[in-house]
Amino acid sequence: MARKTILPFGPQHPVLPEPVHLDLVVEDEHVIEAIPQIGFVHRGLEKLVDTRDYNQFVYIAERVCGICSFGHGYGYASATEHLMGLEIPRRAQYLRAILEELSRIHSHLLWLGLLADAFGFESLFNHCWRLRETVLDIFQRTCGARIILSIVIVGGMAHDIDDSELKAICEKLDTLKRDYREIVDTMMNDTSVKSRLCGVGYISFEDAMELSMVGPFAKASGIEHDMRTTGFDAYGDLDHFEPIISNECDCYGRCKVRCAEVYQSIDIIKELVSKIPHDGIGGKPGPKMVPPENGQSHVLIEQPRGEAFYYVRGNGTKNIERFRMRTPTSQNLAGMVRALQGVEVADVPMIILTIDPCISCTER
Amino acid sequence: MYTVEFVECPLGDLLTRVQSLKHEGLRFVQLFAEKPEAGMDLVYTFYDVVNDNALNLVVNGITEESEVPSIQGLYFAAFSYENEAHDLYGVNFVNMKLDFGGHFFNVGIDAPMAIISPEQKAAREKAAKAKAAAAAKAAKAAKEAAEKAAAGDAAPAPKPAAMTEEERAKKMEEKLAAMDPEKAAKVRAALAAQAAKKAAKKDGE
Repeated sequence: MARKTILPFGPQHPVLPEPVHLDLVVEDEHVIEAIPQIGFVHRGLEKLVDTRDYNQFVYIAERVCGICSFGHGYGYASATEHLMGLEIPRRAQYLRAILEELSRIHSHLLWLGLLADAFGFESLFNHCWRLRETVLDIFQRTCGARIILSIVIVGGMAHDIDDSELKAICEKLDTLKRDYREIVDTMMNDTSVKSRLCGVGYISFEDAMELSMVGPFAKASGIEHDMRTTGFDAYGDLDHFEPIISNECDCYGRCKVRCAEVYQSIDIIKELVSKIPHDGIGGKPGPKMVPPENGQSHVLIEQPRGEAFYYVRGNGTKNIERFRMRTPTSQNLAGMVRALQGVEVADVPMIILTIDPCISCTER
Repeated sequence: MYTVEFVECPLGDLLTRVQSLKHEGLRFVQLFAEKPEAGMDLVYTFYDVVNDNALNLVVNGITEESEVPSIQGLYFAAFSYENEAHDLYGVNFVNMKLDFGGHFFNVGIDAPMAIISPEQKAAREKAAKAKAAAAAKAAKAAKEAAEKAAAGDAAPAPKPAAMTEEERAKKMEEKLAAMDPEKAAKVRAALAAQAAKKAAKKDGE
């Protein structure tokens, strides 16, 4: 009988872009159990609501993570607006949805590049990050920054994006779509890629339901859960929206879902641009408006990695009493532990990368 | 758009309630702890995908001694949140399937998030003062309204007569006499400049 050995994996590992530690209990080449550990870079950002007023905190929420930064600001601002009973102009809601979809494209391209890099597929890595630059250039042109956009404020948007600029974005996305199709078709039909991904890290539909998984990780196991289907904000005005799912339940299925979501996001942006109203972008609430005492509210939005939860509770002053952010990675840790059970040690990096954990978000 | 609901749940009923939610097919979203004035609160969120409803179970008044039953047996995804609430807030969970024994987050001090910062304490005191002031104002307004109603249709009190220029100047002199001489000189100079400006404007007209 093979002897059990504990193989430490991370927090510093070539395949891990962020620090997470896994104790892999292995028997020969097979992982019997995986025990995750996080907390290496915990920053206590939620606690900062004590010392910042509710308007300032948008900028801190954005700095939780460099990939989902826009979404965190958006989620926090939305939750605070619900708490204070603020109505946001439709144009501001459309602009938020457009920027959120651009963030999804940027996140998925970054992830695809990292996955290609882990394969040793260097040219694909370079192509993905080259295409990602298109989105970052759009951010820079429209918001003045590439990562931390600081365009969302409680009450609306800090500034508008004019219609000619929105049209230019659509044109750039058409070019991006054409180039992206080339590299995705190459990757998804590649024999070596398929041999590394197909049938690896299997999570059944039942397990995914049982573990309350979210995002592309859950959609690849056939779960049709996507907060955009609830029609929050501008998503309610889309003619037709259906989450992209796959029934392959493995690493290849997760790749397929993410790759298809890029096309879907491009289509959503183009539809929103064609329908965008002109009723203003809102602005900061008056200085006498503060979050109500003991009022509480939360929102659920669909981040690139899945459903994210933002909770706020007021205390009748300009400070928020409690802010809570639950990111998709926290929710998918249980799924990651399950996916790693019974796999070969050599497949561990691939499985972790297709789950795409974001430790910065988890360690807010 | 989904709906949001907050429901209080006694600690003793927590496990039974979560069991029934699991049976109804609700998805577990998250749990977190928070530290109000006394004790601690836990908020469990579940999502009903059929009715698009987010249900929040709020368990109030948890102390360091309270034994909170773990829900990992029902929803394993809760393991990271329970260990987090234990490490950052000091919540004592029992019967955890995956228990890191306080080492899930490598923090320097015990329960760092449960510490009420001076800023948070000040904000709470300010909120309490504002609340008390609002209550006092409302009570005063109610009292005045009651007195007015009791007086019936009595004639309103006459308005005090407006002060003449001389009376105003006299009152100002009294105020200046009570002031610090240096400050009084500055005020006098400002008043003189104001008077000169007023006179010049009058001449212009």
